[in-house]
Amino acid sequence: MYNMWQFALKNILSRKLRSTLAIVGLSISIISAVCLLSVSSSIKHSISQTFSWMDGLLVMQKGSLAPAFSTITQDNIEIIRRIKGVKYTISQLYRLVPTVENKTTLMGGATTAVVIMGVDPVESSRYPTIYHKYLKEGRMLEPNDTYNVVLSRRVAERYGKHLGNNIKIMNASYKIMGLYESNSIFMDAALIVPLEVARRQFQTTPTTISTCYVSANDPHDLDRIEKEIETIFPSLDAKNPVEWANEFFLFTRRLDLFILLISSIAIIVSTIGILNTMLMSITERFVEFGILKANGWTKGNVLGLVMCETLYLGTLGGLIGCFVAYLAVKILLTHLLYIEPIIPLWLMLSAFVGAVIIALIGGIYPAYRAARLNPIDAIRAS
Amino acid sequence: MIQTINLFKTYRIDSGEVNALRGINLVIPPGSFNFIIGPSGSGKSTLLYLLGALDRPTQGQVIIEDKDLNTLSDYERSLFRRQKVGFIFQSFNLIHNLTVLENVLVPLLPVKIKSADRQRAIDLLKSLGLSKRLGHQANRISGGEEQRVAIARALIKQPLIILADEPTGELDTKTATEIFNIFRRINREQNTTLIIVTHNTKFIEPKDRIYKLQDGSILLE
Repeated sequence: MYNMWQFALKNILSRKLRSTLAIVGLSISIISAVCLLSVSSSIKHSISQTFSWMDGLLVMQKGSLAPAFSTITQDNIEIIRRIKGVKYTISQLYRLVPTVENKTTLMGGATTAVVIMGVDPVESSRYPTIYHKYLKEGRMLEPNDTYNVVLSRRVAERYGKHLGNNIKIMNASYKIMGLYESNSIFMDAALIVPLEVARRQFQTTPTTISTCYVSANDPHDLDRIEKEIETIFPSLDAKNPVEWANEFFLFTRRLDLFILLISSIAIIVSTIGILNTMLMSITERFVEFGILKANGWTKGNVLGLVMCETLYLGTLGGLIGCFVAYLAVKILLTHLLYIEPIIPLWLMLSAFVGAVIIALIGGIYPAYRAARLNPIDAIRAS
Repeated sequence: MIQTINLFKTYRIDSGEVNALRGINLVIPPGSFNFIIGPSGSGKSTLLYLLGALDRPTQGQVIIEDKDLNTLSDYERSLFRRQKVGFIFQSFNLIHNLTVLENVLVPLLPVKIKSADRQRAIDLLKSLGLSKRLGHQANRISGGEEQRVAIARALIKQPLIILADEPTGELDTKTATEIFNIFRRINREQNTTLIIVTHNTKFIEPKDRIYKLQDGSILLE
């Protein structure tokens, strides 16, 4: 042993159980903060990705957070189509599906929810959507299709179905004509059926739709077209994908605040844990610190030793916390939520540095106490 | 040379004050072998701690090598102990999660240990008959061996003074004799001043200096 760092490490290792418990306590707060913030980042990324394929406008009923909750009429779309600069429109009807194969779809929460996406096969064959790009087997809908469906591989596997099988959606049976795979939990929820069949399924009016995608001849014209739509139809919201994503992010901002609050509580608990661990350690080593001072260690040396020990605890807690959080986020998001895990490097670095700072804060008072120990009291106590 | 001038030490306790030392005046020549004896509570350990700059007197001076310890700051007193003083205690007070060799090197840790320091520690332990114990944990050796490690720890910094508080209090007679032989050798070979607090007067030799304390005052010098 040649230096204070090695001495500090020996002290940590000589109290394995206590050191382990302190490190576990610290790493749990790091894991919870990193996991929660990563899940939030990943969901936001997935949302952004979902909207990213669109370079036009999405028109929905004003105040609707999602297409499945929006109802507009095809008559409005005919007028929008005639606005100067509009290249084409694609109308879609979205509705939440309560049962598939006689099983309730929302039993697994948001991860198992599915929506019917009714599209005009003529329109979609003329103006391919992103689902065409993600098609892996079979084909997309064609003009003569009726009770035919294109769905995601994930949904098909969930119900044990393959290309060519029939699948019961609510009270009707559909033949699976195509399977796509988008790796987005939001996009993979869509069961693509002909628009007329969707209207019949949900007993809507013949002109009911949920959303309309508007493409422009010149993308620079989109702002003008957006304003014109909202002027003509005050009950409609026309936004580009970034604006729709930001609407969703307003909601997630509250979620982020909640996550920060929970993480803060965990951090405070970890700091108290480190403080308690080090105070107990200092109390037990009362005589040892007295001997060190009798042998010429200054208050600064003793303080430095204790802070070295807390630095080790913080470093180990941070490393373990970040590593476990990384694994947990990967597994949770990939296999349970089917979302691409996004774990920003700044988050991992901040979490690690945060762990070290938490430990150092927790160690300040115990270090101060140890440095102020009267060596004579310690020697007499021995 | 070590000198105390009109040294007083008073402790405040709940029921009042305790005068541990009352007007101690000493002159201890360099390289001398000294015993401080007296009944329990006579102030022996208190005097030792004042000589080692572990405590400050209520009144009076402790002068070592023409330096009044009272004028030193806490930091300077720590450096003084690091460079000039070696302490040996009754309970050995080794750090049990360290090895024998690491315990000896503890006083040097704040200033970074060089290879020469490590070698000196090994040589010291060898001279004290502990060459086979270098890597042993301090809680795995006998009491006599622990005290020898404590002696090596006190000597590693080549101090001017060694202050020993009941160094053989927890040892049997044979081991105690070995320890005092070591003290004699250190005093003889290195001219280190030894000041030993003890109840055990059988190790006192005619040329040793003896200070008898009672109720905080020196009765006999």
